[in-house]
Amino acid sequence: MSALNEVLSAIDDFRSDLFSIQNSAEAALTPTAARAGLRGMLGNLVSPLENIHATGVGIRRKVGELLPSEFVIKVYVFHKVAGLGKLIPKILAKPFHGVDIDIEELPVMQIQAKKKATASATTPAQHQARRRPIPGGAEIQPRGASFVGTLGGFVRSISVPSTVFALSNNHVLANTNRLPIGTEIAQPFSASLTDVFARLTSFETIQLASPANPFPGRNRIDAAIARVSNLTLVRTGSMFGISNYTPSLKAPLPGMTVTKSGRTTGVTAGRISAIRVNGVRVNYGTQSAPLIGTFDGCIQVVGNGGNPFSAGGDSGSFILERATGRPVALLFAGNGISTTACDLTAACTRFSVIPV
Amino acid sequence: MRPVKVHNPGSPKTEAPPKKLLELIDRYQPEPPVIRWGLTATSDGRWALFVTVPESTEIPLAAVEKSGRGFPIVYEAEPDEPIRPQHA
Repeated sequence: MSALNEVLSAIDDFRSDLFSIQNSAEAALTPTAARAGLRGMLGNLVSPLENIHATGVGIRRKVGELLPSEFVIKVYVFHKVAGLGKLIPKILAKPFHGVDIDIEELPVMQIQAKKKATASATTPAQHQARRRPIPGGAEIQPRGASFVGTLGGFVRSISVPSTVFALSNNHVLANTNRLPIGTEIAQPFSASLTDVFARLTSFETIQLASPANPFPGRNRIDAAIARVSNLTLVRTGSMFGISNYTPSLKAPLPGMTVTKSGRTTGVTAGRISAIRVNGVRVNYGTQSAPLIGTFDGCIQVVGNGGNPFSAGGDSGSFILERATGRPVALLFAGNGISTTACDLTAACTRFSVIPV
Repeated sequence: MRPVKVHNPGSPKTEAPPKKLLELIDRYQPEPPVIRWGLTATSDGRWALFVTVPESTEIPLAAVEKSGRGFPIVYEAEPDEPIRPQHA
């Protein structure tokens, strides 16, 4: 029997686990489920996991009777199938973090109403909270620094595939060329050693104009990687609040509908308005003491419905094609109207890594 | 005519942009008052040269149209707000 606060603290992790399993549905089937041929039992549904359409926190219902003091994780399905919890996803077969799971049927008409009410999958506070394992889209920072950004996603070394890195911006992980290799990276904003999950491994130096160097070289990426110290701390292949994340690079195109998971504005949607944008001047200093970096090959994104696609703190987010969940760009700058991203393929090439 | 505040491209009619347009963007020497330039598609999906200019600029600009070698040109207003890194 679980209290409300116990269920509330378990629900986000449960959803993340469920999203991950839904992305690799076949792997999640138990041998019993495979033998039982649940695909056939569920009619036209492609996978038994597609039978699940929503989750939530609720009161236990036993033989039609509500038990107000017992809180559970609710899993809503299109069709109730006898023995669903035992047959399919392993995650449903036993209590999650000690919290019992109730599977309930919710008819389609009710689903549509519910979807409207829960359109925003995550809140900014959830992106800023401590998360273990850590998904892409979570708040990160150099331990003890006075600023924060977003963990874009995880990548692995091409030459040593077991080595996993967090990928974000230089200005997030290395404070714009300032921090030494080996700097501890924390999730979330923290000065505590217990929140460290990675160490700065490499960054692409940003060429900045200054009085001493008024004509520096031009830039293509604002990117850095930090090696993950312990793989159990992170959840590769996962983007917080985006269920169809697919870690496979794709080229951006004008008109492409995109999404991102970021520390400040959470999950937002937008559209690519231009690609290969050259001559983008970004001020890394202040108004009175500007430090200008000029970027070429950028991607420009505008938010849907006049809403901002990003805000301060979202730097480092992977920008994904909304339809496929595939990463197309690395967010690093903006001006309140449009968001500027750099070429994620160029960043991966620079560090000899691929998304994972 | 003034530049649009936010350009809304359509889906390009072809996956790859014309080679000549890519060459143009790579070699383009922006004429004042062009600030940024790149690649986009028109609202009906034709590949186009994208340029930003100050909001008060009277467009089209003859010099830019000449550089554009007949490709469509989309003029977008450069916002007053400077582009900043998005950490907090």
